[in-house]
Amino acid sequence: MRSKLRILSVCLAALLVVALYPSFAKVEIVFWDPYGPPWDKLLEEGTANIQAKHPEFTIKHEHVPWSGLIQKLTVAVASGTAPDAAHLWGTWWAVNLGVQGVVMPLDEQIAKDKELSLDDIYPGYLETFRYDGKIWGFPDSAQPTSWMWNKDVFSEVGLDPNKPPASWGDVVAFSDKITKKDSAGNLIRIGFIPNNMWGGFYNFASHWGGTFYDEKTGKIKAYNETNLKALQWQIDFTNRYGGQEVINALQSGFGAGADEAMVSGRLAMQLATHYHYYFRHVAKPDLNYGFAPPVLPGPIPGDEAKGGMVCANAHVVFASTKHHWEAYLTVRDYMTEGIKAWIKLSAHASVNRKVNQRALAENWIAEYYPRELWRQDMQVLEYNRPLAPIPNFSKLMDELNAQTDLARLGKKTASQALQYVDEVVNKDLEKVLRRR
Amino acid sequence: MSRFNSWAGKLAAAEGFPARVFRALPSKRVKSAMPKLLIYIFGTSVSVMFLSPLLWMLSTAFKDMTQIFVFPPRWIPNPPKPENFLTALKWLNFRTTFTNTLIILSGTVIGSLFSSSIVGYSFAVLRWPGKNVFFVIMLSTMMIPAAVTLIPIFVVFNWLGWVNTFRPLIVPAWFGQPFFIFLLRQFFMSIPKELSDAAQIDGCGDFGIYWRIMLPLCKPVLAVVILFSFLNTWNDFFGPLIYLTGKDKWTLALALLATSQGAGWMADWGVIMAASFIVVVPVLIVFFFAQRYFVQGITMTGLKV
Repeated sequence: MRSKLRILSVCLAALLVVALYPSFAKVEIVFWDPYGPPWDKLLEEGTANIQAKHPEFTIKHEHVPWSGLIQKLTVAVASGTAPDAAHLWGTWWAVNLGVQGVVMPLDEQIAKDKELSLDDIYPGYLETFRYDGKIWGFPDSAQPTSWMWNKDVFSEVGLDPNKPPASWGDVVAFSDKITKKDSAGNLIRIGFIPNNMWGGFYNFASHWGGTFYDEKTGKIKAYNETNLKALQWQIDFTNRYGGQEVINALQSGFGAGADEAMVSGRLAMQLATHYHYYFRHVAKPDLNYGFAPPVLPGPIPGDEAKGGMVCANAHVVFASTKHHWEAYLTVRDYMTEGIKAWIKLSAHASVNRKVNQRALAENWIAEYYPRELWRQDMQVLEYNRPLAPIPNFSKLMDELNAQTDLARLGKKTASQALQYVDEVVNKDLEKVLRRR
Repeated sequence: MSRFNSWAGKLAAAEGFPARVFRALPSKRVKSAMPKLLIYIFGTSVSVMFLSPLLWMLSTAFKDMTQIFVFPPRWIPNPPKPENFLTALKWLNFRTTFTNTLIILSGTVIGSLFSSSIVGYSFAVLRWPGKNVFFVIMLSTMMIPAAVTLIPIFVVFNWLGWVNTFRPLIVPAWFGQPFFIFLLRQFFMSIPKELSDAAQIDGCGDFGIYWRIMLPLCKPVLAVVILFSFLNTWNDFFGPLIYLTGKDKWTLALALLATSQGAGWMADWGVIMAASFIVVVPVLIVFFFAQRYFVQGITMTGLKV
């Protein structure tokens, strides 16, 4: 009898251990990132920073090349093996996957988080992740734009090297002086290229104060007065210097290093972001450049731009995770701990203004990056405007870039191009929302 | 020639031209060589067109970023930057990814060869009930797009605990591949039945006939299977992408993709081209030595891998 009892108690103890084992085991968060070498090291360093802050759980960092990430994610989600969190290129993925129920809203975790204050995050960056009243992820970093110009070219053509254009009219007047053509009519230098920036026309029009979303109807409204003016300005500017094909020919010779547009002196003014400064520093550390806020008064009174659009990537938590809190902490702390490695290398800013203030005070911003520019960036970030909160944002970007290209090529008028964008994107939006 | 010359002389006299003008006209021999010459010129220009991306890749692999986007393009790097290859080897994590690729490659090639040939032999030579029905079912599996079966197969492998191991990439090859089975069956069927009958009379069993008689006669088609299986596995990026998660398990194709996507706008094209060249070279070498079988494979099947 006694031996039977002993066997029974041993069995019970073993069962108890098996049942309780998962709660004693250290939680592991699987985090996917799409960066390849050599930039993957920065992400790994970011993860290591977060890991140091949270020794209570383990972060397993897995690289998945971007062009295969969505396919791998589809298989993983369908088979119930999705990671806990991921870094996705493009903020819009958060809302897109949120609408499909693939990623989870973070509001519940934010509500019980005593460390995070949403007020610390730049409003445009936070709002880009808000859809249907919920926050579907966090931005990885902030990439503010600034007006950058080549002072040597300004001096060469008799412009004051310390005086940037003060209006879009100035951009044309300066470009007239800067632009040079060879005897065959090919451009060899131009003052400014309207669409030569991340986000294309969306970003350009944002600098004019343009909007693309109608809050009342919840639909895209690219066809509006400000956007029309911005696109018409692009068309007129392009035609002034020989047309889009002539500018394309100049751009096709732009490369990196010494052939980089501004380093080679073939472009004199640009709405630049931190990576332009980084690559120009690498290619030509002694480039004589100036910088100023990107805010140029638009032609419509009271329609001054507010620093352009939000430019970032997304960190999301997948709905299938069993460790909501730890996965949330991982993506939350990329904004504060993970970003440090990027700030040190290429002056990416954090979306958390306190981190940026600390970076400045403690001097861990990339050495080459002017501190005055960092201060300016911090102001610009306050005004960066959120992207249109729609689940098919990438469709909007694709259509907008294609249609505005056609307009600059003279194949469509500005009105036709923008009206077409509204029609196609809203039709697609309806389809996406119907599938929800 | 002399007849041509006299004809040319008469014509020249009639037209008032010096005879040497007509003598310069092509002879019959040259005339007959003309179509051939045109074909060579056409063939050479087409091959230059096809080779140019490869040559551009090689040229770019030796350039630094300042030389890559120069317009008009420069073919000869000046100064050359061979360091790109060292960086590429490092970025590809070459020793690990090459070893992984070789492991998967040997597993799939041997597996495909053995399993497909034995199944093909069975379909071609042996007699068993429902053989033709099973053959049609086997063929119909070729029509199912891989995307349809991807998730169910992944679920099974995940359930077996095989994700992030090489097993999902190797084991299926040991269960026969429809295309190779079809190819081998057709070849086995072309071998005279008298050979296997004679072996059977001499006391040879089915496996003995397969192993001792049929396989040695099938060397050309087995070479085609090896070649196609090698190319499929070497170039396969999707399988490793789905099943392998740890970087220590990556194959060369997967590492190449990661290398080419540093951070979108921050890509180093010189290094990427060097990495591409490193990955392409083994395929070129295999093709160089096995092009006879490659062409044979195309003529046998009408397909190119």
